[in-house]
Amino acid sequence: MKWSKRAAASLLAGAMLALQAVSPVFAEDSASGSSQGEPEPLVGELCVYTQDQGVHKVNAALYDETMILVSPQTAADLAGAELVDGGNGQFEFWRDHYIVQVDTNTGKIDIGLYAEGKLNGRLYDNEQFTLQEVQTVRFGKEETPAIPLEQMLYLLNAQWSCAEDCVYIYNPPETLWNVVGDLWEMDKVLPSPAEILGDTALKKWGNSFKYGLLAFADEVAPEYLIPIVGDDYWSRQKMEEALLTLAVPCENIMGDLKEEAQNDSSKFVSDISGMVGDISTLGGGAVSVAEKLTKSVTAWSDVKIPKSISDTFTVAGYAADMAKAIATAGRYENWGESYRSQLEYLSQVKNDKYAEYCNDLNKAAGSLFKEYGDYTGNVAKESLKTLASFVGGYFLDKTPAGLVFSSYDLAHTFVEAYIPAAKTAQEAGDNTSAAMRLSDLSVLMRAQYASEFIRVGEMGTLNSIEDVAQLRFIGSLMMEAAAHSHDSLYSAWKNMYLAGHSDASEEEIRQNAGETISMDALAGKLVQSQTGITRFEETSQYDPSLLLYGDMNNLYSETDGAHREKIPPEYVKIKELPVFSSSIAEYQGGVYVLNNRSLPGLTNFSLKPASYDYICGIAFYKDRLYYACKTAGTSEISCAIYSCELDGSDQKLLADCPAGSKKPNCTSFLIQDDRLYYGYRGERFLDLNTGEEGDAVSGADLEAANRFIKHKEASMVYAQDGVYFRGELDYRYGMSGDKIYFAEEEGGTETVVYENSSIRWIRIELATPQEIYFSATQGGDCLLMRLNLETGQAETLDSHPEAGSGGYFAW
Amino acid sequence: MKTQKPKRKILALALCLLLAASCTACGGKGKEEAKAACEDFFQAYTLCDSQRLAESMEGFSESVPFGGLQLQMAEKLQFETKKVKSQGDEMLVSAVITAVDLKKALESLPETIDSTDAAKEALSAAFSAEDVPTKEFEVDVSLAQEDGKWVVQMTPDLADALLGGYYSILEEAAEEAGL
Repeated sequence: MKWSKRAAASLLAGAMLALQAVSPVFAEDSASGSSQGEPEPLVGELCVYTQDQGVHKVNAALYDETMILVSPQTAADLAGAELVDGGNGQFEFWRDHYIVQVDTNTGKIDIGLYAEGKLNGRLYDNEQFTLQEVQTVRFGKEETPAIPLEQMLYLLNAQWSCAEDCVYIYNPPETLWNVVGDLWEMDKVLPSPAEILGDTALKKWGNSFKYGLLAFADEVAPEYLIPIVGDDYWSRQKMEEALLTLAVPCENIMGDLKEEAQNDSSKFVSDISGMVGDISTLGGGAVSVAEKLTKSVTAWSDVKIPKSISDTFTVAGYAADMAKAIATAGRYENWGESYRSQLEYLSQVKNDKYAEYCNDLNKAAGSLFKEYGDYTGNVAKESLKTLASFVGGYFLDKTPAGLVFSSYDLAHTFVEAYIPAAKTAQEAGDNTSAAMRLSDLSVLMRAQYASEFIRVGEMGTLNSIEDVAQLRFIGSLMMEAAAHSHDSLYSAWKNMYLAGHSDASEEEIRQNAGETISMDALAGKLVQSQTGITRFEETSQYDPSLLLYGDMNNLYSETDGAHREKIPPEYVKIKELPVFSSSIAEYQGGVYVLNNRSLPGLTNFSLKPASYDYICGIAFYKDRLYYACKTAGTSEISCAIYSCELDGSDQKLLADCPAGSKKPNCTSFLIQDDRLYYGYRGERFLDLNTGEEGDAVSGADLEAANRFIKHKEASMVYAQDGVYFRGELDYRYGMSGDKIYFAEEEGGTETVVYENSSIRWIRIELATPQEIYFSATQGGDCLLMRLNLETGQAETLDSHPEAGSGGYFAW
Repeated sequence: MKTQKPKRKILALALCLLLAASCTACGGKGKEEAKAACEDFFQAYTLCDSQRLAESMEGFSESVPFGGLQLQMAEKLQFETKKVKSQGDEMLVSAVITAVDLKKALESLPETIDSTDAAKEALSAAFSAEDVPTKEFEVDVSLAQEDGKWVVQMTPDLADALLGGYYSILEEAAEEAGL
């Protein structure tokens, strides 16, 4: 007995010694194997939330463990952009007039504004934008260039937040660039002096003259517009009255045309509360996303939330309602300040082309600014009381555009308290005079807007949101002047009609009151001008997202309006392929083979098994080695499955099948989703994390077992882009196993990637993205071969005479 | 010493003359360039070459082309540039522009015209007629420096002339309306 114990001890010591002797060799090989080649992008899926599609998964790849890549189409979809594939690796991402052009060959990125089919201005000219990375990736059936997701979202002004393996992406309806890109569309709604004066022309020169004048006016290009100014009829009082109308919202917009205006503006107004409500229902970490989004998208730079508002909605408890209140309150607070700023600007504006007009304008605006420039906190407090009285029912259940116009309503109340003359001016009989003067103002502002756009474009780099503030201010004032001109004219015609038809209904007025153009047409121009105003206002909150730099130093940001969080790489769930035990296996670019022959491109793998005689199959899975081992021979064998560290330490017995035990066979196995499947037909499973064991009879387990069988019968192996297989053997039908097939998915259309009628019994050992290793029989010899998937050429790596059955790796 | 005083005076005078001459030369070169830029603009306008127009006019580097009736009027335009004078940082090129007389063209439209579309068609026909009435406008074209070259500024007088007196008509109507 003593001798046996001593012998056993020395055997064990010998075994340990043997393990230690071979492990460093393997460890070195694995170390050298890991330095081979560039990292391969790992294909998987990313969970995202977007406003139009809710929670869903998109194809994504993880490159170099850190960078998330997606196809150009996916990037466009997530950023709310339209993709134009220019061919030859060139892609354009369109968000209306704002275009990001990407060349995946050179990595160069250009950003510009397009209108009327032409490039109208390059943006960020001083910045050099380059793609951080480009890889070719196969997502399912599609092979595509894959580009960095975060970089594309950044360049397309998206905001995003991350929680619980999901990326919540918010795309603004538009930014200032989109509005500016619509300059030529806005030109079409500028007032027409011919329309305002047409009736006079009719009286003086006749009907045909009037129509001729209108027809000609229609076709004058915007660069040739001028203010109609003349010493004969100018009067400062009339100019001041016209400027006062800018203080209050357009009378007809807040009256008969309110619904039309709301509808026209609606697509440009963020439905952030809707999105927040939607996200909040997802529970868990999504609630924190909703809170961040509410803060980022509704906050305005100067917003002050009246306490009465915040108190009311804290009680109500809805984040969505608070969002509405904040947005509305912010607008409301700024209204008076905004008008003062307009007067101040107009009191100083200069334009050499219209020097005389500017002089007159400066005097009139200067006089008003002096009178109303004294903004008092008392007036603001009075107005807040009014606002507070509107809370509750006033804000709830309104559409986003409805809230915008409710805030204009409130502003009306506020400004009337502050500038009573504004209301008087609006009700003044001389609407046509105001219409004409505001038309002139819109022409001046159009010229200023164009100059300012050029100036901003030439900056080359935006250093702060202040750099675009003036552009917005001027554009907005242009639209205000246009809107109020149309509004005054609309009132003029309406009042004239009512003077002769005091009982006329709204519909009748709309049908008959038009003069040079129909009321419908004038209403259309008025509503569109109003929408222009709304668009300028709405986009100001996204100005921080316009600060783009080539080095993306502000990629990750908590700035309101540009909220961008680093997406954790682990959010990309890598598509896991089934791993079969095999005589050849790959690990970190190195290919290991179970034999003692020295073969080109292959590394010998030899490890003494923890039990029995030799290893008959290996696999690498999540940085551990798994192996099947057996006793010698082909019948009455014992076999087992172990896992261990890559240096051979930490051996764990996973399954054992001693001879005669009737336990499930352990000479081969499959690992999928952290479960080990074994037995002759993969009928048994072991969960590698929990240790749970059972029969693979349903669900994913049954699916795995079926794959196990296909692997055995048809030599099927799985690659990222599809499956390779030899097919079943059946000599009756000439299926001798002399071909290798490929299909993009199990059961899909198959193509032959290799055939050789001189060989048979192909057994696929390993498929990598570039090669397939397989054994086969040729005459009386067993071959080990390697197929180059790119060239379709195969070479014989080794051969030996056939011995028994079982092929090249015969037991 | 006495003999050197006259020499100094002569030298000073010569220096002044030289300075004046060089200033004139500089000013002269600037005037020539401005006049050339002005003519470039007119040629581009009459040819409706929107790219050239954008380059010779103050404003966007890309231009939206004009069409329709304005284009027809432009094709008939003739111009002649005369003197150039500088005015601070700007140059004024006096020019005589002969354009379609819009007022006469509108007055000669048949009384049966009762819509803008019909008027457009009739005007288009009138503009393309050989004997379309024309009018001369004397304009001081204002040019300013932009990116190192002279560009034309669209002033009220120039716009009025290019458009055959369109703005004069509107001003007359505004006065008539008592605005």
